[in-house]
Amino acid sequence: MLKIEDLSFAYGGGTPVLADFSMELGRNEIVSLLGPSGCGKSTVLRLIADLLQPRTGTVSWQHTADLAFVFQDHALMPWASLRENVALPGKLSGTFDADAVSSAIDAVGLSGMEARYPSQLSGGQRMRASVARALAAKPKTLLMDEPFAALDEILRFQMNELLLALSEERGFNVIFVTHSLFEAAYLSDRVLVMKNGHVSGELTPILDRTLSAEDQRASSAFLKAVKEISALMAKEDK
Amino acid sequence: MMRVLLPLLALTSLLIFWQVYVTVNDVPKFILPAPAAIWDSLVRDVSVWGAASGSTLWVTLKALLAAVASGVLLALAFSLSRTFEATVYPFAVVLQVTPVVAIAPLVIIWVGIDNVERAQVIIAWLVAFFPILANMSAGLKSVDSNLSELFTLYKASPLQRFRLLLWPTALPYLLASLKVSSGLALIGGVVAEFVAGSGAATGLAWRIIEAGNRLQIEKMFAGLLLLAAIGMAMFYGFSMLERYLLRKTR
Repeated sequence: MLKIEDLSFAYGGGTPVLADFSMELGRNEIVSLLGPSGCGKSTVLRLIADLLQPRTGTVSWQHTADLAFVFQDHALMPWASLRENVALPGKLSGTFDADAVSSAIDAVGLSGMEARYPSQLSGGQRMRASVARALAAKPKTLLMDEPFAALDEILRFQMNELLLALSEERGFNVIFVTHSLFEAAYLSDRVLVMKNGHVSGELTPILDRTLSAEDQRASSAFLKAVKEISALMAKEDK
Repeated sequence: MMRVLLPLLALTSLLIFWQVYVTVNDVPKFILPAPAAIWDSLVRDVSVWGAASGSTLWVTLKALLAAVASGVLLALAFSLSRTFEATVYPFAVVLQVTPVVAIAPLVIIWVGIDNVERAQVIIAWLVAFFPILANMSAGLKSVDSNLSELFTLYKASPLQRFRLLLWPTALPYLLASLKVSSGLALIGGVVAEFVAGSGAATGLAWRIIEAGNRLQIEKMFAGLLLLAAIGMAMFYGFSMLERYLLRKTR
């Protein structure tokens, strides 16, 4: 689906943020990028989205990219209603589809709030609106840059569950940047731990998705995954 | 409600105190006329004051319109080219920091001999222009970087970027600058009339000069009152426009 090979990048010709970064993304896969601040996680997303140009290396797609981006900040237009915000990708790319907009708003549980402005929404609702905007673009791959970092723990859990359900229902891949070991362990098919601008470790959490969200988080498999990710984070980079 | 009532109460108290003070102390009207005398002067020459106010307001609005058009366009050009901004911005600062009273005689000589109003508009524009340019530039630079990236991701055209992102982002800054620049345009217009001197101008400033020359102090106060009223009307008018246009974003 997506293959990234030997990517390197530096802001303004300074110290490289990324060096020999490689990863792959399969179909219907959720991959988390986890690592300390400044290790280049967000930069990877921007290079994938073609918002930055790499110094060296390649980003290649098997089919068309069809991307959507969700930022840590909801990045909604304060002067536009929820509906106008969600309709933005379609309007800009000339593929506006009123049904897709309504369906995206419905999918994140904001039906009936279409006419509200961001200032009239709560923090959690704004983030849902931001996810709806991404869904309205009908992406094959969703890039998410610490999207739930500013939410409280309960809301974060709810958004994690919503994301898993949407990904399964709509069949898109996710590259998810996070600082949270728990979030990475719960959401991901694969966790890539980054250090010094490249992938320093990888883990595949195996959770029983037939269990409820609470039971999954209380399961020994989940705690084992968290522990292993923590060990990978603590391990010295080679 | 209190925000309206309290200033009105303060004004009424001041006027009563003023009227009583002048009457009790028998203050000569060429020193300090009573509020009643100022009101009489306004009512007696209502048509003269109306024409003078209209003239001053017309000059102010034309200058403000020119300031908005030029400030917005130049700020937009600045946002497109840092080199252009670095080249031109210092000249805009020169216009801002040079006292308008010092520039006004030159403008009157260059363009105002046969058409004083044109010189007035230019002088008023000179003082009103910079706050709009500075605020609009700041507004255009304050675009949410994530939103900007989103516009890039979805391949927005330059027109879409301006219409849907840059303009709405900068609008609160522009509206805030209008409240400042409208007052400055009025000041510029008045300065121009003062500099233009006798007979050539027809606005409130000239009426004030004329009344001063004749020691008709109540007329000077009447002119000042109208100038203040025009300034206040523009300030609160733009405040209301700001509240209306930004009502859903705050």
